[in-house]
Amino acid sequence: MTIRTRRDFLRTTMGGAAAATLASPLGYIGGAAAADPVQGVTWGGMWLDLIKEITGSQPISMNWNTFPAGGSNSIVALTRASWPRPAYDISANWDPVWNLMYREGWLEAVTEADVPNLADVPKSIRIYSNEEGATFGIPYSMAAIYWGYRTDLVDIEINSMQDLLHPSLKGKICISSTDKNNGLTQVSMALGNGGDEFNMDAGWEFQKELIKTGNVGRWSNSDVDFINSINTGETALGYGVTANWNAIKENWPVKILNKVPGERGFSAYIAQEGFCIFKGPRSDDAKKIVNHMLAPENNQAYNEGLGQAPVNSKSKAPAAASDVVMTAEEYAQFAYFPDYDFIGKQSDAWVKLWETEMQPLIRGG
Amino acid sequence: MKLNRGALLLLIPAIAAFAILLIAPLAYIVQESFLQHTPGRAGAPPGAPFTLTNYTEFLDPAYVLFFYDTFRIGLIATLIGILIGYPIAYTVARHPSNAQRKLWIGFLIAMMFLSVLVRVYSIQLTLGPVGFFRQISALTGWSPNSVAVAETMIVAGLLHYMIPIAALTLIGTIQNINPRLPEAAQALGASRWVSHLTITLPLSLPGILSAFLICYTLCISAFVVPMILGKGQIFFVSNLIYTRFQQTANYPSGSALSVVMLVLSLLVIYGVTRVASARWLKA
Repeated sequence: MTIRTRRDFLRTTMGGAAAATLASPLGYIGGAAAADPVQGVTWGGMWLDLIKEITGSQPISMNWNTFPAGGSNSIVALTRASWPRPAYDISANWDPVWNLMYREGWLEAVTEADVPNLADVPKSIRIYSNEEGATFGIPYSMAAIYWGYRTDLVDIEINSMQDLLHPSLKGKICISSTDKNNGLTQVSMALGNGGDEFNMDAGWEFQKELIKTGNVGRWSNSDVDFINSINTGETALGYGVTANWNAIKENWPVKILNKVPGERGFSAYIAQEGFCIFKGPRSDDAKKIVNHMLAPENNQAYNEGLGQAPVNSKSKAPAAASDVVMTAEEYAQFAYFPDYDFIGKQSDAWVKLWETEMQPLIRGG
Repeated sequence: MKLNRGALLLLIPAIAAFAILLIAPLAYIVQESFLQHTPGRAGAPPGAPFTLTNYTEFLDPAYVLFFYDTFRIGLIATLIGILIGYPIAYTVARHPSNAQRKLWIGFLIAMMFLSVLVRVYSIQLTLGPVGFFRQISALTGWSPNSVAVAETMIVAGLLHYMIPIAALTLIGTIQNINPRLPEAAQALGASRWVSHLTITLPLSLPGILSAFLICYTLCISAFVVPMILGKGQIFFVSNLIYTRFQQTANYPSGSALSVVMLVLSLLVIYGVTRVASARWLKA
């Protein structure tokens, strides 16, 4: 069609715009095909950089993205909205989320036949598996969450949970509310006061006491928030994951409170990071990519970057993972393996309790 | 006005877009808000029974605090935004140079294109742990980690966006006021201030009301600003909705909260418009 008049031009461009408007949602609804690149999603920063580098050396075309909003839990809402055509084929995640997604019927359960390198991962840590022994939460990195503090800013020796109430710590503590880390911070407070995740009353009472002291200077929203707050000296003491403490240790003297005799609250709360594969047209390719990721050298490179412990028995643990890697005796004495499935089921109730009982105290303070 | 067939046909795409993109999702949210959530599942599982619990749980007095903070801080930011935006709008609208006026309007529009994350983190850097506020707080004895500081930071974050919006909304209104009216008042002996307060300002009220409604709606629905600058000490209702949807997968509760917030916001906007129309605009 030759455009000769203004009316011709408008007709042509409007027709094109209308076609594009209709085609784009229809194309989306039609979903991505098996031939499209595999889509992966993970945390940002070093997690993203490391996994991109590792998967860049395998032949299958793929893209990595960061979680659309907030932490890894955000993948649940996104998947539910897009199911049965999930936006991603591979997702990084951790303990509390695996079971939830599996119960929804979204995840592929893989065997050693699907992912041969899984054979090098000890069965004892393949805990997110179904009754047939197929794994739906594929482990990739062993981390721990624990208390620690900057020794250049904290004047007292911290030996027990009760020390967190000391007046010299006013505004110096950085912790997260119950909706981050699935309430593990509060579980540690319960454990330090004679309870555990099944009996949280002591933990809630301690947290109320802690809020009233004014010692909590920041309720962190994210890992970045936590690292920045302690690195800048806004706060000096907190409860964070291995990679976060490693980022702070690069700049400041830090004392890690994961092996404090007689104080169960100051344990190493073991957590497992890994990947899951969503059911979909590209799940076979996704399995091949995860197998490549699980190769000893790749698993080692990833964990060297994060300072966490690899899961492949043929990989070597980096020196930076010393806070996670323990002897059998140390594990028995200082490591704590929370019941993440139970914690995942409690998170809604705990968040509401935090909103109705803790937040008014913080606001009033 | 009677619509003819052609006009009705032209309206069909707009109505269809509204029905698909606004009414249908809203209806879905309302339906979801009455379903029972199962802990450990994503939202309400298929066949979940209907319940009113998702609404009744917000009768807890603690939740009033979240709504109070949202509407109160939103109101403070809106009023300050209009207070600062009005003189800017007046200066721009009355500027004798057409080129400079365009330059000002371009600058205000450019301000709105600035990413909300850039705004928020610039405030955090300025008033946060590495900014100069830390030194000021050390001198004054204010705690940089106090709730008051977090609230101030949220208001500052909201103002970044509200001032340009308020100014741009008011420019048109002020431009439409005949400048000869205050000039006539001054010729008859009124001072500049009196003529401004008795003529220009009352004639600007429709614009001020529009600016108020736009700014207030944006303030009470703000999400990123309170999430980052609130430091976990102050939460807006939008943050609670986010937690329900993104962290605990309790979509029925998040939906109920969204419906309550929508109804309350509409009531507030309706109330403000009614009061303003009855008291000032008719006069």
